[in-house]
Amino acid sequence: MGVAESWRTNQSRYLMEGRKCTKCKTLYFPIRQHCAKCMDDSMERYIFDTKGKIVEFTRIEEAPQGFELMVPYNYGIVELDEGVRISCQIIDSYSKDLEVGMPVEMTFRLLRKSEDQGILQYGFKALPIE
Amino acid sequence: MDKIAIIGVGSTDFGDLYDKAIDEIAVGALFEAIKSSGVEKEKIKSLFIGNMGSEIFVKQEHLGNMVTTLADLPAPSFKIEAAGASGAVAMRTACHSIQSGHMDIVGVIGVEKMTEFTKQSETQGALATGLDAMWESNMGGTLASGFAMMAKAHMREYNTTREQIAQVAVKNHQNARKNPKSQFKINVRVESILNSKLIADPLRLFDMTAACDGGSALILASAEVAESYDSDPVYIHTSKFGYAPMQMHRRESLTTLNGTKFAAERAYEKVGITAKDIDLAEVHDIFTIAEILAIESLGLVPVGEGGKATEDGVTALDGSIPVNTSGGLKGRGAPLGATGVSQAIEMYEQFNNLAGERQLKDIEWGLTHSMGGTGGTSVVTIYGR
Repeated sequence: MGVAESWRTNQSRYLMEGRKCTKCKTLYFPIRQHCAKCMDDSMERYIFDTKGKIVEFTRIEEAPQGFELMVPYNYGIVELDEGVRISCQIIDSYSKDLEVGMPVEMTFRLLRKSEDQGILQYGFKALPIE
Repeated sequence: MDKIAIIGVGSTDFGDLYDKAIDEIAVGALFEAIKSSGVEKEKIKSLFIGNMGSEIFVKQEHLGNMVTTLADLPAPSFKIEAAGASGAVAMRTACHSIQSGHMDIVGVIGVEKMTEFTKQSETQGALATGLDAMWESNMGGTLASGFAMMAKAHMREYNTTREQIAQVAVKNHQNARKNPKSQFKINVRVESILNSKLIADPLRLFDMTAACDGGSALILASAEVAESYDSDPVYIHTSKFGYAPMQMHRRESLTTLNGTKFAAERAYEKVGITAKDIDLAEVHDIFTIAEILAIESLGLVPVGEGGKATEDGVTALDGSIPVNTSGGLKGRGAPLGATGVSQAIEMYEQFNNLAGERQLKDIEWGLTHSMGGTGGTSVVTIYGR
């Protein structure tokens, strides 16, 4: 991830910020310029709730660059309470204790250090809550 | 669509081709295809090159120009990219160029050079470029994690077993042993797959394809032109494209490949057949579980029964619907951009009784299925006389 890309996406990664179309009210994550339905750019800021549930998950043992030191780690699809889905790591848990449907809360964590420009990439990871 | 004839095929070996650069691999396949067609090189009007990652794997772009230079073929040429479906999309686009009436004979090359890396994480990172770089790869996701989640969902939803999934690899390696150009001419047992290194639970090392170099090429022609080179050509009857959202989390289903299903339904309708008429299929088994999902989404077996069908030998060489007789991506090898083209070569060889020990009898319709990423792009192509 480069400097401009990091800057461009940090509101979504840091704040769970997305967009809501002012015309058709469709919610989007991450931030995007145009509504896919209306093709219109009249979008307003929408901060997603940090609560959701696990849709599916896996334990990754062979990681790409920048994630090698974290293996094994849990990673999966989370559906936020608003119905929008995202992919992220699932932390502070053994995979044997995770279940589909389990409630999670998104937390702010370090994702990785980008290999080319040394940027520390922060973002969200899911923390199981009970 | 007017059917398009395959009048020549060529392929390099698939495997670690350390002694060959990417353009040499491409040209090796191309020249073999040209020679097998009997067409003079100069008659080839354009070259369509399917390649996923020459920039990532070997830091080379402008691949079209590089290949035509080495081939000494001053024809228009360019790279077409759709991750693992690059070769199939290139072939489909080449068909359109003939159907447009602008060209009568064209070449298609699928090529990938994947073995220059020295670290596994580099390969994983390169494969992950077929995913959403920011919202999947950057969050820690890999190609394997995507298929692993499909496997878990399928196991939960349909009681598919780990052993049934492993049987895909057992079968495809058995077929690969009968294909002289295969990367892995080895027998694998279910136990060795289940004891191999865990990559993304529940998928293990032997559920995956490996980094692989290789190139495959076709010479395609209009029906009128084809008849002067081949009295009974194998034809591409239709090739359909199917879309699904790139990101796994945006998919409606983790157990159905909706893009594949869409493309297959359109393809059957176009040709006027059903899945029951298909006599053999080459599917995109980039991971073992992908073949199970593919045969269900293509309608070759009932939904939810892909695992059982594989276990029961339905898709084996002597089964009622042989799948991946070439060895598939799993056994024959998966040089990504080449895979969609090499599937077409298996069709050509099976229809022309050139498939040696893996030769099937009495085939009327064949199908190939290629995918990009975790299934965002699907291409389904149907072959016959």
